[in-house]
Amino acid sequence: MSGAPLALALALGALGGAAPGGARAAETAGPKAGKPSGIHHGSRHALALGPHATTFFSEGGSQYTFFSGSVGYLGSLGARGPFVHVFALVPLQARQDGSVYATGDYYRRRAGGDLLLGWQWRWSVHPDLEAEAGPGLHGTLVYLPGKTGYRDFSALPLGLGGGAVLRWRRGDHGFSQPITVGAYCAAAFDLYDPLRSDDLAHGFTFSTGLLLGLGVAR
Amino acid sequence: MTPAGGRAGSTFLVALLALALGACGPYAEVAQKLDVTARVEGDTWIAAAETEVRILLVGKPGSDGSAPFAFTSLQFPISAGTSAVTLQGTWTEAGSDGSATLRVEREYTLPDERSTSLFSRRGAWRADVGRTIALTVTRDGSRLVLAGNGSLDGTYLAFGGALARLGTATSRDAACAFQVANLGIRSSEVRIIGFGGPGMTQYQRPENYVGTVAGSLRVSLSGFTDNTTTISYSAFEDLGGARVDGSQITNANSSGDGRMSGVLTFVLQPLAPDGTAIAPITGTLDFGGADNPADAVQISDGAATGGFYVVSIEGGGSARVSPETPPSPSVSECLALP
Repeated sequence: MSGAPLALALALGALGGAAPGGARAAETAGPKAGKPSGIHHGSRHALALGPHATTFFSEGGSQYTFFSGSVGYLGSLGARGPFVHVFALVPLQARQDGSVYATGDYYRRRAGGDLLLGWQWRWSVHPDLEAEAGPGLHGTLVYLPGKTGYRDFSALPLGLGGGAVLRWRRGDHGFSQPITVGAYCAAAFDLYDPLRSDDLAHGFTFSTGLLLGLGVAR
Repeated sequence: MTPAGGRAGSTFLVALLALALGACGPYAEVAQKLDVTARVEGDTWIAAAETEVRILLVGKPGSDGSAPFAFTSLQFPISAGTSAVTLQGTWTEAGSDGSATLRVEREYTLPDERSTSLFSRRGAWRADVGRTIALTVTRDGSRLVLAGNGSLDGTYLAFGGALARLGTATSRDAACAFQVANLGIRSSEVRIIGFGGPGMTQYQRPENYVGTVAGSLRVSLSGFTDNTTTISYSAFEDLGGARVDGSQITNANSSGDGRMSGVLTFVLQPLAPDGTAIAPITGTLDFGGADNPADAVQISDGAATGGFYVVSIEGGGSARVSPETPPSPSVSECLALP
């Protein structure tokens, strides 16, 4: 996926050792409220875990909804810069037009992915609490090959979305970087599915969860 | 890239390609069971209207008076056939005035998508409908007359009795044998979810479908950009008295161009007026041109557009039937349908 190079660059940046010095310098400078400052510079990396939901309507009028567990990576660069949210999904429940199905009963494999790639802004909402938010391009992949006797299902709704992250610095360090905990959420409006001959009328995707990360430079 | 990395990359690309090819066309139904056909053990009736052939199977009534039924409408403006619809449900006749109620539980549709781009085709699909059709049924000897619904109306003949009108000696007889045996093949394809569309990649894992009357078929697909689709029939009967065995094989590239091969054997079992079986008509239907591979059925853009179905009646005539021309003779002419 196109987010992979960015994620790799972000990860390499995290391990490159350049940020800690800058982070320590920023710690002595203190926050400057109301405008971007060095305290929000640097890269941020986090592992995230949470629920994911996508619902969409076909041109034929059917509504499809998938609830998934998700685990992923959140990364961003700079006080203002690119971000990526990339998740692996395990669809747990599927719905169509009011009928509810446990995916494990019908599909031999349950897989998927979610990518949000965009531009973010960071700011402080509290001395130890950093916020980050921005818009981006979005895609969700649902891939459910059927068990014997059942039909496969797959979808790739694409659209526009936005993501937000809250990070709280706990004071611990790892890889010479401050360890953070936090929460994230994202929402998207999907309007095109290249794998389904654009049978997608429109759809929505929501995700939220908790994160454990590195790199709040305070 | 290292060789291992190259293999991993290739595997990834193949997986992406497979996913892309397999996912084209509209959304599938969630948790859809592929084969839900309930066997119909009873009578098979046949009628024709212009290029349409109508096949009705009505089972034996249960204790509640309702019987399983299956109705298939096949369009044959060309011998390969185009669109088709199948209804399945229960058939209930109440009273002596001939009124009947059909409860349609499932509706299968195989649309004519020759003008639709290959990867936008839906192929055969099924909907659970739960609708009711009211009919008036009149039985007259070996005839069944339906009235009250334009999609089903007609004068139907008992299929076994109609088969007794087939000959075996001439080329025309062989062409008729093809047209009649092909009814069961086409009606089976209506129920193969995704048939005629990119959804056929579903069958990278082979699946079985039962015949409405007896037997079964197994559909499988191999390859990614160059696909081989094999439908293997085993004592398959979608019409009581028309059995097929063997494999129909279609090789096509990602543009839907290719050719067919494989041989089906057919057995048509005519019935005498008293219902007893008379000498069956047996033969073969060769998709690969028989002794002349250049005659193999040609596939263009996913549809049969050239070559010939080579049909041979055991101990009788043979014929080469073009898939792209109107049936000559038609099913109606072969069976002398009203």
